[in-house]
Amino acid sequence: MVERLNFTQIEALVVDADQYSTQILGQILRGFGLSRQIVIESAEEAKRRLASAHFDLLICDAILPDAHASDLIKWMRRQPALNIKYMPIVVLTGYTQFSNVVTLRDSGANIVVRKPVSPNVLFDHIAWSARTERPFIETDNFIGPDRRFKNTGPPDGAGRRKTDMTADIGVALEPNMSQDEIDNLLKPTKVEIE
Amino acid sequence: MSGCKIIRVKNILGELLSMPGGVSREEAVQEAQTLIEELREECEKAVPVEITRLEQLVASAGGQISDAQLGEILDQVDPLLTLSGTFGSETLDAVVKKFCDLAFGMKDKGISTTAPLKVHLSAMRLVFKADLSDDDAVAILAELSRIHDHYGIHAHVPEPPEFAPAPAPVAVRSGYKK
Repeated sequence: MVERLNFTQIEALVVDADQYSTQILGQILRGFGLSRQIVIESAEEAKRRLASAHFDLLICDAILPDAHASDLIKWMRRQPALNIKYMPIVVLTGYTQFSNVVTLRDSGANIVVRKPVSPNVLFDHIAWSARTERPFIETDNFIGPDRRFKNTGPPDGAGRRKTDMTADIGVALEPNMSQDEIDNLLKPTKVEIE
Repeated sequence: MSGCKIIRVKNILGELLSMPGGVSREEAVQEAQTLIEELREECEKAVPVEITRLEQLVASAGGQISDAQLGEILDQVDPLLTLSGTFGSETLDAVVKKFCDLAFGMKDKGISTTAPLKVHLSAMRLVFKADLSDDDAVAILAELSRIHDHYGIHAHVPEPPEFAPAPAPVAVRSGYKK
């Protein structure tokens, strides 16, 4: 069954100085049925708005007139107010340079989408954000959503988290389980309840 | 390092989106496309204005362009990328992207002659105004590619970033919320 997404309670802050981009984005968000969207142009204005009103989603251009989006995102991720700190952030980039994308990721952006943004791409990314339980990571030099998407082990093979396992698992201490033993573990059995 | 905290954050956006009612992906995209179409006339008028802006930037450089001026061009090209990508023909969009590749490649390789930039801007004018046949469009793009090859410039824009995986374009299924 196809589920529906209800955007009517979502309040978004859009930070972008490109008038065509904001017009198109505005129509897309209206088409999705967003209840409220505020469009502003600068990072400083964004900080003022975020501090004074509630938003559920921030969509911003990578390059703002007064700052790079990474500066705004870092500021947000270090705010004591949890609704700002953990707010989902979608960054829109124009002619993307890879270093720019990495900078945005490492500043704590949730998603980077290349312009021109299209309704289906934006819908899919927002839907993905909504259905993905993605923990927040807080270290000395990074606060943001978990950057480890693929289960490829820790970066460079060196674990930095408590939950990282060593690559060397050592010699087996017991014989391998037989298939029957594995099947028995998974087989539902009746139990007597007293 | 002093430590790494892993925090399970309540997915408020997910909770709001999964409230009863709402729209399917198909409905949302269709409605958005309809609303975007309302902007077409205004945005199509803006395309030549944006091309003129780039032409003026290149013209102000004269025959030789500096690294900073190329950087400014790349900063200023975003509106045209948005317009051509949303409302332009595929050919115009391809020419604008080639222009970006060229400007970035020139910056990267320290190439300062403005001639190839001017050729790309002329191509933009041509493909925007003219009702080109497919063969003509292919020929124009091929000639621009030859210019890129001449200067050893290749498209540099990477695939969508790995950390923000492109979600599968399928409808959201029920029961994904915990």
